[in-house]
Amino acid sequence: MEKNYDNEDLMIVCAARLLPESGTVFAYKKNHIKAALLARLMRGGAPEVLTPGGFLDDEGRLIDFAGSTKNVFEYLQGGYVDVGFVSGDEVDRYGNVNGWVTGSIKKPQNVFEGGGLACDVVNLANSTFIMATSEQLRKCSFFSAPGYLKGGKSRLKEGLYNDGPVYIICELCVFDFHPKSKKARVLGLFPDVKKSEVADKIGWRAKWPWKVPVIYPPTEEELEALEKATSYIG
Amino acid sequence: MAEVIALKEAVKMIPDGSMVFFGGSGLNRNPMAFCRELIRQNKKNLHLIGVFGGLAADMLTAAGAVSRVELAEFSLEDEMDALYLRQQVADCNIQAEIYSAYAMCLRLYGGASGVPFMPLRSMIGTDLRKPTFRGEGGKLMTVACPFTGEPVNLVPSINPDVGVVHVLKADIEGNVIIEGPLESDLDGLLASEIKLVTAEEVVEKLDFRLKGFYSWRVILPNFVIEAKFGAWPTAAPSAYLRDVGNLGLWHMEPYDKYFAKFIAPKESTIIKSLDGKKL
Repeated sequence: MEKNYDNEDLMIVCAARLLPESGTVFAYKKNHIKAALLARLMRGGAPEVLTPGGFLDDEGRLIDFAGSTKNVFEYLQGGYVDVGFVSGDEVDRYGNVNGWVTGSIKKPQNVFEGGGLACDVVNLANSTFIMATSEQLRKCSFFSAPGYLKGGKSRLKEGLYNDGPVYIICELCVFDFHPKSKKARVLGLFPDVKKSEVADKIGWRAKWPWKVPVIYPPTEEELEALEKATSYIG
Repeated sequence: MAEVIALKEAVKMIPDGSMVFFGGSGLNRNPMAFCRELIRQNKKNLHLIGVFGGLAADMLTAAGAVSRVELAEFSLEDEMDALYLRQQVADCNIQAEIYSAYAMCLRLYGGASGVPFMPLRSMIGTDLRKPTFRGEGGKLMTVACPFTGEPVNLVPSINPDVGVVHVLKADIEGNVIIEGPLESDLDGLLASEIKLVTAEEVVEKLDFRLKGFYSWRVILPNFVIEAKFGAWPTAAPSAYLRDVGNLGLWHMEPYDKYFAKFIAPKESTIIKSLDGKKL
């Protein structure tokens, strides 16, 4: 059968499938908003989608929100957001995200966008989904948004009591985290993706299950809804 | 009661080295007319404050008008990067202090409400705690809560010298209408010493009974400036969308060429070229 989707589409579909049935989702990049809207379209009105500008309706328009960016973050800090999406330029195997510099702060080699938003989301949302490309999955020297830090209980010891990253979704596969060591492990491969391809492309060693499940491709309804969501956001 | 003044006069008031708050974010409602005038008057060493640094911050950086920034993000939009800002920070020409977005909002809110610091739950376990120019202990403190004893992060409030925000409509009394997301404009403006508002339209008296507006605020600025297309090429909700063609040029063309075409001409020439164009 001919493939009528690409892996970026499946990435968004996967994120939408993994989102909770109800509650509130915080999204700020186009990819995130598409995933959240897709979930909303597939389930008929849930979860609620929150962006830094305010809540979105089914068609991706801002609902009149009598508040500023600060009020949106108060929602996050109050614990009213169940899942927050995060993106960064480097993501390591413990779910730590770097969105600011490589090298040191005093003498940076490469400067990214800043990563201030991702920092808030992992600190304040009850749990986090990380969306990244496979090239971004590599060791980071600077943690702008803390995941499980050095693994084990180090996140808890640092004083972060929320759930932290739950999934890493890239265009080859989906990772979750080992409950004890908090190392990323492959949850499922996308169709037509080989194990060696993942191992070659990402910059750290992932854990592999005995038998690697394959994620089923997007259904007709999901692709239709995705097209709709894309047309709303542009 | 606000004073209605010309754009040139307003920019003349701002000395080199001022701490300036810019409203809007990314490609939405940046005070671009004001920013272009700052470049034309060759201001230097500005200290930019904002939450999501937008095109204004990128353009001022490209012009060499900035020496310090305090922001949470540089990003303009998913496909567009604030390339000049990123490059200048990497080359150590600009010192950047990055806070988390909520921390930056609270710092402005603290400044607006006149308290010296604000507590927050964010910024735990992140390397963004390391200071650059604010020095050790000047960026962020973790203290025990005086009531419960649990650790809490404190960030210092901030009071910029000048705050500039672009709005849809303003009246001579200083009431304004903002449409679309408010961003952090209200807090930023209230925290600033000199409050400037550039408006698409300045009217005698605003009618707040008008329906269909997303939001209106009474912020009582010190000075109101009429600047048609004052947010171009970024968007001003309900007036015009972002100018994708021009933003493409900003990214593709070298700065000097863009400067000669779109920044150096008088503001009236720019407005004339845009009048009637579908944005």
